[in-house]
Amino acid sequence: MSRPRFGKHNEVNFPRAMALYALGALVGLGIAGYGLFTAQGTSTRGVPPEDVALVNQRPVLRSDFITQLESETGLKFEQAMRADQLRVLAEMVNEELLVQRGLELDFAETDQDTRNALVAIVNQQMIADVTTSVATERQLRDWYDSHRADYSTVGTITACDLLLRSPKAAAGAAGALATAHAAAAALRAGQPLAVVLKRSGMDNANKCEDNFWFAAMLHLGDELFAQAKGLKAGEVTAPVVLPDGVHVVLVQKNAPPVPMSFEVAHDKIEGDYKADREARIISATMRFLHQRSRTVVANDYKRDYQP
Amino acid sequence: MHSLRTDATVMQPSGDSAARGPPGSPHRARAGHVCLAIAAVLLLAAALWWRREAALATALVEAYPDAIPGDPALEGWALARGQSAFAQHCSSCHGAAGEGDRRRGVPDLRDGDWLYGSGRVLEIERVVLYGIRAANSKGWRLSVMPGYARPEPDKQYRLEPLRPSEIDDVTEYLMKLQGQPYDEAIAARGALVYRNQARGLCWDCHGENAHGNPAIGAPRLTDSIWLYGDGSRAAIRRSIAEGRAGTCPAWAGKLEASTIRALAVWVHHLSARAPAATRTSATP
Repeated sequence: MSRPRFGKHNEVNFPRAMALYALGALVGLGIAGYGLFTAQGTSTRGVPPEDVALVNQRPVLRSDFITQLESETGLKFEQAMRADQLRVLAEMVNEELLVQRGLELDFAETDQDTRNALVAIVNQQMIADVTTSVATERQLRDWYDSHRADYSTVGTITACDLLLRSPKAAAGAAGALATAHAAAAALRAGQPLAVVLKRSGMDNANKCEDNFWFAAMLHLGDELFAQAKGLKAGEVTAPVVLPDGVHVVLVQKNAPPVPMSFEVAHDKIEGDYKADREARIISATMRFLHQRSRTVVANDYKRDYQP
Repeated sequence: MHSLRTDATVMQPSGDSAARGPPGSPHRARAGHVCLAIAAVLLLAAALWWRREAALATALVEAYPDAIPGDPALEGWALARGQSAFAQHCSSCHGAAGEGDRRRGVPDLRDGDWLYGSGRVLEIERVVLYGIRAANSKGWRLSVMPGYARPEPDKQYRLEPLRPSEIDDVTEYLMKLQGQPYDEAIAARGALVYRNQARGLCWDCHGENAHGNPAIGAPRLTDSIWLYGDGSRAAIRRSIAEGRAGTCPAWAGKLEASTIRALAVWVHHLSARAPAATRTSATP
């Protein structure tokens, strides 16, 4: 069987082939070298242009350097003396060396301030992406639809807390109660507050302050607030005996919470949505950390310990 | 195209290639050399372009940031790159043209008003690098607008909530500072709350004269620029009642240094080309 003849054009042009081969090898080496010597973490004698120094391969960023220089000198970078620039550079290099030494000495194990700072920053770092992310309108709408009860205005109330202080009143004596009933009736009848206070000898304990509902609940107490929050302007509670005396509450204004629309509650929805995601991420991260750790609990706590 | 007849002992070109001469002819060899030369020229051009890009990127990050707008070559290169990076990484919040979104407290980057710093490229770059409240201690995260209609207005500092009437009073005071219609008696009460040393503490961040504090991101309250809402009484009241704390991601370690600087130059450019008269101050 004879070999087919392909003619002169199929003869190997050796010099050209070698030249192309060498060219290809050089291009390949160039690409590989560039990738190798510019990748993060590569040990190099050169300082990357964005850095002003490398300390054991840890960069000192030019932007940080300029900011620190301006902060220390109170001058713009261009106006700062060369000596100041070198001094700040030396400080920053020293700081980096000391930080690295601190890591070698494992101060995270022994120094409480370091531990606090690490815990705080790791907690923040876990949720940073969520904190700075933008939720879609669809996500927010879904959240709103499933948590509608959480979105209402903050109720406000202006209420006068009339108090009859006396040991007998605090004990719920009939005379004290009768005085309080008479005061409540007078208020319902439309008599001016000042007149009722004078005739009954009761105090205006809270000076008729206006408050948000949550604050009014604290100031009036749960029992009085429970009676007052359902009243309209001009209405009066029945006398309530408490340890400090008999109370009667006159409501001057009351704006109970009203549901907020999606548009009005948008900010709050976004905040709550993110807070929920942050809580989930923290929880998931802690679960992961527990799973990959080997924590041994002492016998006296082992039975009840819950990670 | 030419076909090879494998059943023949001699392989012959067919069709058009026959017209250009047989393989191995001087004509075909010349064509091959031309192709090689074109490829070499293209490769050289690509290498030169890449070298120029790399040199500009290096020059950009080595330059003093505030000097870049005065260097047409560097600025031009940074603007082209910054615009593209802005479209890719920032426009989803800040808008395609940097117009912001006052519903979400995203600032208008074109108005020449700066919440943090004074609009220097260096300061903008710090925000791009380390973000705002983005879990980076080098970033801006000092201040938060407390929500005074909440049981606990601020998570970090112990502050008492304000009463509804106090919030109304401060709102009225701010309407006065804005040069909008206001009630003098209510505004006077609001000024007292604003300057109160124990409650509210508005002056502590926004300053005695309400000119704000760019070192901590406390906005000026005497101009017509609003980060949230439209400056109406209802919108101002809402900010006081609910509090504010916007965020911006930190891009350090996520984007190249030259891209971050280019972004800073682009944002500076957005602001610099806007009419300077956007900010109007109602009070000196």
